[in-house]
Amino acid sequence: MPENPTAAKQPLKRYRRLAEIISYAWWRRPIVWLLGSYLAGIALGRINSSPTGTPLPVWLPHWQWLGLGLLLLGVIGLICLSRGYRSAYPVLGLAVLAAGWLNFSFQFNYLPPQHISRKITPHKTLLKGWIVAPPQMRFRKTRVLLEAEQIEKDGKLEDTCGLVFLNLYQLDQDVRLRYGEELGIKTKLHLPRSFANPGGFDYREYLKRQGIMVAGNAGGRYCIQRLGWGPGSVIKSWIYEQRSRLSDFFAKEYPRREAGFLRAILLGERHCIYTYLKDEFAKVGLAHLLAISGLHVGFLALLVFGLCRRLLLLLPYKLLEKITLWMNPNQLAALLTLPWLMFYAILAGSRNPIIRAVIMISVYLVGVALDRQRELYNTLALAALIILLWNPQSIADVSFQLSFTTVFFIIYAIDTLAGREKPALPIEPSWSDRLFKRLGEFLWVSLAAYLSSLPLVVYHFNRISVVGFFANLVGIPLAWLIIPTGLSAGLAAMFSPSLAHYLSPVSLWFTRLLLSFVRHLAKFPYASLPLTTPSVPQVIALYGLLLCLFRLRHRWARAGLAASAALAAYLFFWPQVSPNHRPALLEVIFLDVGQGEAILIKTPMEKKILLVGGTRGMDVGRLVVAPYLWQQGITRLDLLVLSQASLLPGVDTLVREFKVGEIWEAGFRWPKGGSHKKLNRPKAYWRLKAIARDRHIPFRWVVRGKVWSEAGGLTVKVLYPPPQGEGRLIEKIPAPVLQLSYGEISFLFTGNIDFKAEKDLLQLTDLGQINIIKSPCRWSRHSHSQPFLEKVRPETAIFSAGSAFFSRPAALKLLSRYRKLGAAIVRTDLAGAVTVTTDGEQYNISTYR
Amino acid sequence: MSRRRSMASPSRAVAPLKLSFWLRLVYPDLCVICGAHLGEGESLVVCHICQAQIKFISRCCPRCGCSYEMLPQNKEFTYLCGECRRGGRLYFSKARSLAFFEGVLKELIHYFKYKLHPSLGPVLGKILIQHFPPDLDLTSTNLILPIPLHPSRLRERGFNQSAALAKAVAKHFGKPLLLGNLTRRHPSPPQVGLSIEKRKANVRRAFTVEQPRELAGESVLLVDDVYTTGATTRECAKSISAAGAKEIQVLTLARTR
Repeated sequence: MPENPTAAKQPLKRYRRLAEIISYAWWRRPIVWLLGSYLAGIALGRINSSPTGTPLPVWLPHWQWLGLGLLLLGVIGLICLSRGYRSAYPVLGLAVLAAGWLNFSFQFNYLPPQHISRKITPHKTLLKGWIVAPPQMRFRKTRVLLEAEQIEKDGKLEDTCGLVFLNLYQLDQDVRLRYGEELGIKTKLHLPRSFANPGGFDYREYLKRQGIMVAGNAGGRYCIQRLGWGPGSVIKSWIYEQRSRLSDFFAKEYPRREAGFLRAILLGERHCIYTYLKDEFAKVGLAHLLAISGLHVGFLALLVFGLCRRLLLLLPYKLLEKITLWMNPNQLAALLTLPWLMFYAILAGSRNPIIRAVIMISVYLVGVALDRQRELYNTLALAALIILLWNPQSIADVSFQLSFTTVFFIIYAIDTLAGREKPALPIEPSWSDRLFKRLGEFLWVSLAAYLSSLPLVVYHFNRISVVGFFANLVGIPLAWLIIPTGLSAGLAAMFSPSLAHYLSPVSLWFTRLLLSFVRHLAKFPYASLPLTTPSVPQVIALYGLLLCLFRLRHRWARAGLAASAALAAYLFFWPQVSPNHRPALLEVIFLDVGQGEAILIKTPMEKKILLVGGTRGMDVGRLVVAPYLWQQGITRLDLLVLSQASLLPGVDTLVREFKVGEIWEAGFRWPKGGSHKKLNRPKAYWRLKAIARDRHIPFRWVVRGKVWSEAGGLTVKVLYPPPQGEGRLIEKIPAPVLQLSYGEISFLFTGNIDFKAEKDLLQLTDLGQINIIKSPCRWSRHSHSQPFLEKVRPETAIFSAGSAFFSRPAALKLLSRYRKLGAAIVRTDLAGAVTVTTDGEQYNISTYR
Repeated sequence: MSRRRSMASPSRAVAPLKLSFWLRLVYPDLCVICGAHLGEGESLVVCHICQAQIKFISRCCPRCGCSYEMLPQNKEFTYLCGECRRGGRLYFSKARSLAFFEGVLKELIHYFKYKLHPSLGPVLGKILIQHFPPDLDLTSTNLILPIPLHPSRLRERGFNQSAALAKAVAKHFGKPLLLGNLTRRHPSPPQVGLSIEKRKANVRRAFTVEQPRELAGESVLLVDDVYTTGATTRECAKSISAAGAKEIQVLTLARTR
């Protein structure tokens, strides 16, 4: 066979073509590739830094030096690239990867030796520092972010650094703290408290991402001493002063509900909004309006840009002609908008999402000023890169993910429109054509924004707003009317209160219109639906689907759509229909809910029982238990037991959002002459009963003898309270005591019983062998008496309580009683969620931390 | 645009860590016509392949500048066109256009004027300089004037495209650019889509010279973007001529066939 002389050249040609394609892709969107490398570096740093992750330094003992070497190599690569050597691309990518890795590792792991988190003591100490952010005045407390300067240790003041988050209670009415003030505070410092449950919101991590690693509380009028002014910026101080004046104006001039809303969307004071209002906005898919984000800042930038442009065009003709020879009004207006954006970022409190939005829009405006804004993906990637260089941990923020995903899809959707657009017309279209075009674009962009935010919203918030698209179509234009009218009223108040008095009704009217629209829409049945948390591959498959859906004109998109639809269907439906090969195991999960309890029992027959009870405090039912259940893919609870006399805050959310088979509460006889209503039940109890009645959920009083069982030998027996006629008269609402038996393993859930109930229990019931006991955590001394414990003799005692509970002497005595009996002690405040798994013969305990 | 082009950027050695390199990294330059990435040495907005597609006028009427492209290429034509021979008054001595108003150049001008890309101004100015008509003599020219826009149109568009072109020419030849003297009296609708007669009527007495003394006895070059029927340039030239200008030449970037 004769040799083909061109055959040898084919691979070379192919290589050249490939190099050309890479070069083209690189030069078109270079920052996108760099961002990809940087993200890979962050991922590597995350794996490296995670306590549960793979320890990479096993094979890289001097990774810091390696990273520095790579960084140097990157600089060389960049110089080579600027000299025209194309082979330097991978070198540059590698260097950016190293930069991501180093930056993340440094910011995540490094703490200076004198950092405040290294100087926490269990006692009250004197802390000196200055206020770095505008203080938040809340009901009976003031929240302050302090940059620590000195701390008292062994009677001496030592230098320190780092941010401290302080709650100051019961300050005098006239004490109004300001940004930049230097304070001396007698406080007890601690690490920020967070509930440690799988898939739950980690408040400690959230604060750490903002550089806050220490929290503290102080109370009383003498807890703080004002020491003058710290090294704060004068400009910031002035702007925050104006912010405070604006805030006062809204509080004074508007009704409380509307004032709270305006303060949130204009000044970033989210704590001023009523919780029910937040719920309504979340229900209709407008929660993003309540936090200042790219939408608000973008609109404000557009407003200022338009105003500057209009003002420039009003210049005298001859001057305008001369100016436009050098610079277009668009470019000038973009430059003039930038300082206003900076001003607004500070005015709105300089919080991370606001700074992110300002960076994103500033990058775009600089592009406009240079008339180089055509490649929007590159511009978006640059904004993301700047934000991640500043704080690589931002990647984990929900607001970061939502902002960038939504903006990416908006650009993607606009690109689709641009592809369909006819060539530029020299003749101006009529106003009706323009109106319809703009309307169509608005609908298209809204659809893209709504659809693109859905998978992430469901992933993080377990909620889908059915009316969200419609709500956004109306809500966003209304918010755009509220922002300028509200701000102009506020700014007018600084110069002329009488003018502000005339302007404020306009914004008040728009605000009322929006709030009333949201309230009515939220009342619609099925306005929003709770959903279980999708897995990461499911979210990726959904985004793949969306990417293809917006490019249906292309053949590759149609093929991609089919493939991603098949993948999504497989990921979503296969687990539902696939045969279950799981061994018959009983799982009991004690969630970390602070002072209270939330115990989930997953039976071998896939039934779900939830025991909840607790004291007053934050809404753990809504914020901790419900998200955990959704994250576990649970939408139905076969049995809900009110396991303590006091209700767990947010238990009504559980009854409302989940399908509940039945509800149990302890039955008892009330005292002679007493009635059910005289028991002084909390409002939440009646609310719960009303919801149960509306949803046709049986609400049962259970007494000893009531049994819930399933095939396979699992039984849940009620041991306490006794039925009518037995035992002593119970004068208070009791807690039910339940025994769960599966094979040879037995659990005792004691709710929050006191020593009298323990005595009754011992007299009336034969407890038998108890392996695991959920210990009651009463604040009084009278629980788990020695005789009761000696009778029960558990192998393991699980405590579900807050860390404050264990600082009391009574709790320490209780722990020592258990230790004397040789029982293993597991505390949810230390270990996080505790999972007990048993096959009926042996049991295994695992903890989250 | 169905044509094959190399996807690689024409990379030349640039000074290490040059500002333009960083700017291109952050805001890559893309051709407004074909979307291709622009390499080092190319203009800011149009790639060299698109620029190469511009059809320049090589032979034209010595007076009004209308094209003789349809005539055989091997001969020189120095006679006037039919229109000029009929003796219609033009008010200018010579008009020259660079290229035909079609294809890439038409798209470029539309991008420039209607999609508001002012950065195209220097690019088109550069093209104007590079392919400057050799028979247009500027040695005696004292002033360069752009066709003015009415203030309302300037405020709407934000820039005067003719002024941007005139600025490039003035800078290159070191001639003064005169702005604000020749003005538009009333806001006439755009000429696009109108017949010849309507165009003439549309711009009739539309221009005025504010200070005739500045133009008296001067040799003037009038610059515009497109020459279609010549109605606008003729009306401008008429006003300038009435102000006492000695000689008026016209330079436009494009001309319809």
